[in-house]
Amino acid sequence: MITIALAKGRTAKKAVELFRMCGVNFPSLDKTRKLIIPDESGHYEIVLTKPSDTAIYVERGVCDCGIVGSDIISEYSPDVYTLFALNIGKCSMCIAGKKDTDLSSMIHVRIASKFENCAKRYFDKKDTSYEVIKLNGSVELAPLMDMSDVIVDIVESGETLKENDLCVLEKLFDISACFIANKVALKIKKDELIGFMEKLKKADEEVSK
Amino acid sequence: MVRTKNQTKAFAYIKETLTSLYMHHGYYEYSVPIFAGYDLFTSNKGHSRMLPLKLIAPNTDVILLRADATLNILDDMKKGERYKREKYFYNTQIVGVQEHTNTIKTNNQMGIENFSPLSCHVDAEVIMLMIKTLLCCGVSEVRAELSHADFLPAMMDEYKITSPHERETIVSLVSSKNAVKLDEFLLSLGIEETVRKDLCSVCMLFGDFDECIQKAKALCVNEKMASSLEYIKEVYEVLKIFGVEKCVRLDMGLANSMDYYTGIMFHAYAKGAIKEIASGGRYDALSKKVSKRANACGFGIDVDYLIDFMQQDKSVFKRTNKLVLKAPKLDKALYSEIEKLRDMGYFVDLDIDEEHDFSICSMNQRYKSFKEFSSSLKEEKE
Repeated sequence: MITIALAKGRTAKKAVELFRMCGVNFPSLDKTRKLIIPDESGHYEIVLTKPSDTAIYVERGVCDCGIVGSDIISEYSPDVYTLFALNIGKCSMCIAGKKDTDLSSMIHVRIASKFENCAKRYFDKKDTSYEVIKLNGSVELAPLMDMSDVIVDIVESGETLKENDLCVLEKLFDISACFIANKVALKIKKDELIGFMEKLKKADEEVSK
Repeated sequence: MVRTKNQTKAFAYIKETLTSLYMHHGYYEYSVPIFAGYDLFTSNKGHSRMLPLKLIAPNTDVILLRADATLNILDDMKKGERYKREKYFYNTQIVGVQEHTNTIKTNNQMGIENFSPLSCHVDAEVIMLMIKTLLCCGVSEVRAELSHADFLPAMMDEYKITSPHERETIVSLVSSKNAVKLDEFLLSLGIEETVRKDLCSVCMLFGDFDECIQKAKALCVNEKMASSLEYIKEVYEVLKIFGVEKCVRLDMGLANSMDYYTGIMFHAYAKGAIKEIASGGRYDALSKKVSKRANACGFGIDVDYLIDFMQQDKSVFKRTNKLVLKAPKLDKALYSEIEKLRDMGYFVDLDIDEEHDFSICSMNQRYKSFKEFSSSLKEEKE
């Protein structure tokens, strides 16, 4: 049995489509509210988690592998093997703010973000002093309410920023979903996990063609 | 830290069992100093993932609370007398600050350091003791994976990858087995496809010893790579003599971050564990620099994690060799039976009380007689 942790939402749905192409069939996620879902063969099981928790389930060994955004890997540095990047969940980590924001002229920057470590890592390399205000959601509110000068957040289409009169000031790095595995599970279930991974890689390449 | 009754039991058992195991192999306990100078940690590569906890000494010097067992032992050894074969074990608590959360953490560690002259026998003995450490604690399906510090660097030398940043990035990507990102990174360095393919294949070079050694041989492009594999094979032959080869695998992707190790590297894990339980290797350069001993090989165990693992897998205790023997009275015949059990490797805790009925208790089983206990052993063997 291979247990796969998946971040709930769009990534999970796309991943389930890829699994189907690999011959691993799960019921449609729209039709169930279950969090642990076995496949038809009984050899696989998906565990639906909050995106920021997916890597924890794999790191703690309760799931053998998982699909998680590279933003989470970058933020939390989980102790797992990051085996390959998929072509799903593509977006980017950006600094955003009001249109007239000039970062280079600021002596002190107030940054609101869910990704505290990513923000710190970037601003540590700059000469400006800074403070990170850790938020848990709707980060765009912070510059609008003048609680922060900028935000560090994931940008996919840029629509949310646009609707709130904010814009991307700088792109930090590209993000995509990654296939990760627990360090011990990969060794103990080597043949099963690598076989599954190779099939998944092929399906992902086919879809992205 | 407050331990539960079962954790306390497990900790006492681990301490007692491993002390006995190491002493039976000629290792003496080293009392790891509590303090070390600040320079020791900043000018040498420690193993701890935590930041050191700094203190101000009365003379205003900055000193560190025990941040790394090996470094503190090496530093302390330089003051002492030297012997040809120095073999030590330690049982200590290290202290540090977790980087992201800024909280002070302690971690119980045990391990061995062997300063005997370099030989495959010494390295094999250390690896065998790492495996036996887990077996003695009742852990089943122990796997020890071997690698060599020279293998990947020699490959990078051959392909003219010399920048420290590039080498460190490659080591980190190989360690996380991220072959796709590694390929992208190598491509950005302008490295040709066949070389990229070879370097990426190191990520997945793990598993059965004989199969992997053949695959690794095919990747050798210079003498240094070949001799590192030859050395691993020599160690493996000695491990066969020690009878632990069934537990041994290869993982050439186990890479040497920050050039800490200078020879063989290894780690051990078990089925059901979420991470490695023990890790180690040969670190001659660090030993020479700090303790003035030319050779050193050792390993450390995360005792706190081992306790957690033993709690999680209840059957572990079933496999341990701790027995409590209760009897209403003691006589010569009974004591000679007890001694037989001790000769078989059991730790027998004798409890004599008139109120007691005769019983032999293992961690989770009770036997009413020696006969019952012996037949359970026979069943287990079958």
